[in-house]
Amino acid sequence: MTPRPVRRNLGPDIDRRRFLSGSVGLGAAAALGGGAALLSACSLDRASSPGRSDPTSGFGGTLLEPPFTKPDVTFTDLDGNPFPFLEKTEGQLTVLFFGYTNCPDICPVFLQTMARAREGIATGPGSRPQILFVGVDVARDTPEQMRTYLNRIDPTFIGLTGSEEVIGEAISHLKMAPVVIEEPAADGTYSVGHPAQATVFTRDDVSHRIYPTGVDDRAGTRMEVWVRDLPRLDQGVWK
Amino acid sequence: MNWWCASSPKNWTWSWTPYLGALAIVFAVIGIGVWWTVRGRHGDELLAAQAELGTASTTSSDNVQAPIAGTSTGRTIAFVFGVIGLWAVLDWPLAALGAGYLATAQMVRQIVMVMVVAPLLLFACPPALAVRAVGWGRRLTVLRWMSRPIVAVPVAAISLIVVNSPALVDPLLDSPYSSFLMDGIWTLAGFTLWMPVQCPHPGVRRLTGATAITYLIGQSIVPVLPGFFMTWADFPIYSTYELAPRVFEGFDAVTDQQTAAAVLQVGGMVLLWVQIAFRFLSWGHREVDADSPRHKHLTGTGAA
Repeated sequence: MTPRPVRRNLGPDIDRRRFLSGSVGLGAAAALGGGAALLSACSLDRASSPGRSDPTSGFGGTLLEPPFTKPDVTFTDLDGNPFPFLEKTEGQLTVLFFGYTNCPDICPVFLQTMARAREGIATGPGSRPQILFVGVDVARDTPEQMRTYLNRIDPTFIGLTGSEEVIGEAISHLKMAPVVIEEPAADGTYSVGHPAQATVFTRDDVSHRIYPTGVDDRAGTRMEVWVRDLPRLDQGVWK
Repeated sequence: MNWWCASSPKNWTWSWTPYLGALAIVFAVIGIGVWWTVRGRHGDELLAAQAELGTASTTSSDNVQAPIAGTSTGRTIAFVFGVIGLWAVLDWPLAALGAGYLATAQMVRQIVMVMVVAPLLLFACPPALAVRAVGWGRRLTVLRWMSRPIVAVPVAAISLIVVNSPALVDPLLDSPYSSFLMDGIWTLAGFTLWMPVQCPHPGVRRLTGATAITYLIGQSIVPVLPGFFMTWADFPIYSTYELAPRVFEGFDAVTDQQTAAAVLQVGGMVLLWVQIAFRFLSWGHREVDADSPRHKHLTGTGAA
């Protein structure tokens, strides 16, 4: 007589079949999780190594052919000293942006993106661009206001002011849309229309690329793009 | 009034914006609850269920009746909190913030839906209502399959990973309809994840006791899977949130993403472990009660 196999009683709550199927399911989940983590880590690591990235991969922004020259204007820095643009930016990687401190959308997004991009580049080429923020709302963008505003984002950013004529001349030279001061609302606040491009001047003192800014994910330039492009622009590669 | 929330280049304002789709879903759930309470005759389906199970149990070992957990009061409380959570997740401000401004808000929505609302509403669903909704035919077969860990965990995990991948999130958030689809997928993933331990249908055998706790510990990895994308990224991975107008001054896209990852991984774990602890204590109490001399005496299993 063949002896019957003895089944171990696992108790009322621990059913072997259920337990096994549960274990397989959990194993699958763990494998999926590990795989997802690995994939995301690998793909993002490639994107986050700008200095070691493929120099032939695409650039962000728009290529300027012929390149834009620098405007020969003199802004005023936040200490009230003249800031002759040609002289102060000569031979340096410079990002020029026109905005205003009461801007609710584009300006803070752009400036925070640039601050994080600098952190992302950390060291090497492109890690120390001059970021120039020109306040176009001359009535409200006082030196104190701009200093407070920029210090909250990145104290290394350089705030500049100037007369409407100086700012207008610089904007016109760079073929950007002029500044438009909107009519004040009932509470006295008003919006300011300003150029939504950041102009990057390379070490050869011209701009080969301008970058769009904006709060639409199809319009603005992402941090990843800045981290990829600034080191190359700093090394004289722009296309 | 908008149909469903989607991303927007407009600046965030704290003025209330109702979402028609969210309100419709919440009121539909409330309506079902009210209808069920007013209707009465809840015994009809249960009697049918018992009859079905009585027949079925002699033919299939799979159809052993699951313990019908929860008192009526417990179900009512679970229903109320489940509906409140559902409303909070689907409507302004959390939904609007999550759809276009803050990854943190989006992850809070997902965690609350997956870890709180789904188990509460499944617990609140009376078995008789589940029987009425699903019946005993093919739909029950599908439900049984979905309630198996080997199916539920991969389905939920893959759904959550896919629907949170950056390649899909940004385009899906662009329109109310695709945003609705995305929200629907992670909501269903949340319910799927809980089916093995919380399926209300008495014809589905649920995991209980130690097996259920083991399952919950193991499945805790699933809701945090989307967090891997964010944890390991050097840059904001979703352009929608990266370039969205800021809601809070100084709370930039990188901080937002890091907070979102923390919400998923820490918040999700805390919520889950609260439930595991609750189940563990309940299971322990049941075991102690089952071993007590009084229980053995009453059930006739004690020593003479």
